[in-house]
Amino acid sequence: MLFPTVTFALFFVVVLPLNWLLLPHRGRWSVFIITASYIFYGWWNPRFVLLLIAVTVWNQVMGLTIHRLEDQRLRKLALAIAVGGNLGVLAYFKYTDFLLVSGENLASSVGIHVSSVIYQITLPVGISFFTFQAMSYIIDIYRGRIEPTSWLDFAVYQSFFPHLEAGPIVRASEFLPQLRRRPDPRRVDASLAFFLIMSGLFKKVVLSDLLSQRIVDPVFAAPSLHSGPEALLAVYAYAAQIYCDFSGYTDIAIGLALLLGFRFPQNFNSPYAAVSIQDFWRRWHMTLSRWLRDYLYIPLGGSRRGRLNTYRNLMLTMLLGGLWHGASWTFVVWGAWHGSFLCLDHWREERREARGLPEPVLDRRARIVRRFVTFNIVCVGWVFFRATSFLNAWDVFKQIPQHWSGPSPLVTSSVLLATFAGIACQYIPADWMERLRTAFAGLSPAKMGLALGIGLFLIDSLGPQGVSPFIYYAF
Amino acid sequence: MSTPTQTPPKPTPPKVRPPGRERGYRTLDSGGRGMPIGHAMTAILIAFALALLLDAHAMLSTARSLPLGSTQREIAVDVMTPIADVAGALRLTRPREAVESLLGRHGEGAAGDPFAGIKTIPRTGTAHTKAGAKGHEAIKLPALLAAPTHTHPLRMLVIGDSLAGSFGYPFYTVARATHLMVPAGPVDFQIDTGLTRADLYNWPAEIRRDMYHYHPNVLVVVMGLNDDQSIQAPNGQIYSFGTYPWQHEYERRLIATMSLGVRLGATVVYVGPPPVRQESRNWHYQTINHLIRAAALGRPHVVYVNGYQLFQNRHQGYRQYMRTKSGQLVQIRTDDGIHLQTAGSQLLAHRAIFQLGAVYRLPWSKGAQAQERATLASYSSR
Repeated sequence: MLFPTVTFALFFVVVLPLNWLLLPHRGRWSVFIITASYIFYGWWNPRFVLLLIAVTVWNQVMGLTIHRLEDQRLRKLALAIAVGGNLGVLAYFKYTDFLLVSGENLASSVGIHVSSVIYQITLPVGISFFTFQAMSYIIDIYRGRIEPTSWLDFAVYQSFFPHLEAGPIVRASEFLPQLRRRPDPRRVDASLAFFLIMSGLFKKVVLSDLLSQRIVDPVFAAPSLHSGPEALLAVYAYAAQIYCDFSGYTDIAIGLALLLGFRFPQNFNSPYAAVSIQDFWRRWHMTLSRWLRDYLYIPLGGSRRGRLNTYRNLMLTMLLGGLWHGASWTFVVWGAWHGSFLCLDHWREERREARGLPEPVLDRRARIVRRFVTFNIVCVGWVFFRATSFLNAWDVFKQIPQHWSGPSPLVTSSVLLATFAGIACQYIPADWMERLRTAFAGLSPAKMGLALGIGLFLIDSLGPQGVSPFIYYAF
Repeated sequence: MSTPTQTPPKPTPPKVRPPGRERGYRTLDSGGRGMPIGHAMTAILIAFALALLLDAHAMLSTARSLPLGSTQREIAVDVMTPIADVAGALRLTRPREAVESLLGRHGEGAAGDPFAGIKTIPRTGTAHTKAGAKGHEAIKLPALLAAPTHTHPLRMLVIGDSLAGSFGYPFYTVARATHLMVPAGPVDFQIDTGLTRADLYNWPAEIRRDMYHYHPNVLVVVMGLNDDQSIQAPNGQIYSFGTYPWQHEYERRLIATMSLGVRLGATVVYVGPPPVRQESRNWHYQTINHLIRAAALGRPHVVYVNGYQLFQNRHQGYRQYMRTKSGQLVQIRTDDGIHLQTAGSQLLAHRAIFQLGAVYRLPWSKGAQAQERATLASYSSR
């Protein structure tokens, strides 16, 4: 089920009151929310509900096993089996064809002709998200940070529909305590929820879909047909599109959870205002960054074992992070691109510390320059992220310096405006938004409803025909 | 006189960050402000009611877009019709109309039968030389295109459903590489449209607009993926997909669409839908390809490209990859199992260009043929 659809609106209008009516009865509420979440998930392909159930059962069984075992070696073995199971599911659905095809092509390029069976496996929506959540649960149990929860609570955690399909990646330690306390129906953070939902819908339906249809898809489909200004604008437009699409989804997810009485972690914090790549990763898909840091980078050794090992760990984390996004070598290159700049940031920091210099205070000019440079580094990475192949990415870059004097029909005022809005919205001072939110929160329910109704109407009217799936559904 | 008593300052509790609020990370909240859930639900209901009224006509269109004859559609239309009537009477639909007009949108569905007034092009050797024969009007077909040159290349325009969206620009790239064809305009693709649901999208009207704006010599129509649903004949009857009356009505619309393009001065290349990953739908697309072929057969200036055959596996089903002659596997379909990857689009483009050249024996057909043969030969079926 897609959030910006009438079907979902009807679904939520039914789920919301029932959620609050049943919340005082924990058991019934859990069964209800699990059922609702499975309906939500199964709307696209009911067969994959079984996969979700299987992943839930597997991780709960393994979580209980790890918790009960006392022998450290056995606990470690159980953890390895549990993580292996999750990675196995992920690998089967996401990487089987990729590995087979890559292997075959590699063999054929050195003259060995093999013919394996290509499975053409359908990727279940959200698999990367719910397997990562499950892994954080069992690893935290192993580390003694949390205790296994009840079957019902774990099933709610795994399937809770606002974050099921594209995150944010909520950890058990953040979500499970919220199940144990009863949310107060007299103090629901509805104004913030509405604010987030409306901004998410606007970013997705109006900005992201418009940019995708009007410039990004045409240019990336055939770069050589387009002029330099079109190719350049498509690169920036994609940066705006992917931010609007993914942060739009996250805003809606966080808003829906708030209306249901739950709080999700922040996932975006004006990423294009970052002054370095390190800073960018503290602001972009923050829940994935934290996951990779805590469950991959630090266990690999983090920055504790010398400079070279730090670089190795950074690169490995980013390469795997890239591969997490999709089964393609272009994602690996995207990860490597970011990994290299993270290493560079670390190297500069180390050099500064070795010289005993204090952390530089950036003045306004330096901040602008660093933001500009960082943003452009990120945009170059996005080309690999969006491209269907290296050749496609190269064609986009190659096209940028060409045909600047000819016509550029795709460079329209609406595309320029949407690109600008998608990027510039991250520079709006936080207190302006806060003031707007406060003013909105002060409205009576009737006035709030009227404002929301007009907002919904405008979003629907301004958006292009049809809603395309969120980009991160494919991951 | 009482003096204010000084209360000792309370000890400040140590700052302990709650779980999930460590440095560089926070959960979103608005500092404890909140409202009763009843108020929130009231606001939601008011918002939906207002949006429903302001958007009543668009919502009614959405309801109508559901499959013809389905209970879901009947209920949705029954619910939305009075709401749209009330909104219309209160002039609440005016803002939407104003926004649509401001954005220059048209493309709504047809009120009647948009295919009715189109005079069909007869098959070669039957009626087009005899006035009035077999119900066809004597027509003057546009002259066969002169051999295109570098200075007078063929103007190509791709139109259709979402498949045209993924196919169109790679097609233009391949076409332009011949140096004898150029794109006449941007790809005109309309998501979720086709010929079965003229009530949702009026393709004949859109073709007229496109022909007027871009004057293409070749109109490449990519449609059919959304057409495997019930159809409503001009007599109001609804026919289920695949039945004989359905096929009859669909073929009528195909012939009208092809004829319209030809009458307006273009050669029509009609590309049939490829198989999809959802195997249960593939007989639908075989049927549609069969009907497109039947409609195009013998009709001058109409070329049918079998999109199904090109992409089928050895069991006439879906395949995601094809092998090049050098042994490399390339992905030809997108991960959604429906649309075409660039490599798949290019393959289909070569096929279309080859057929266009071969059928009309244009001077460049040899080059295109050779190129197409080379490309097709570089792929072998898995």
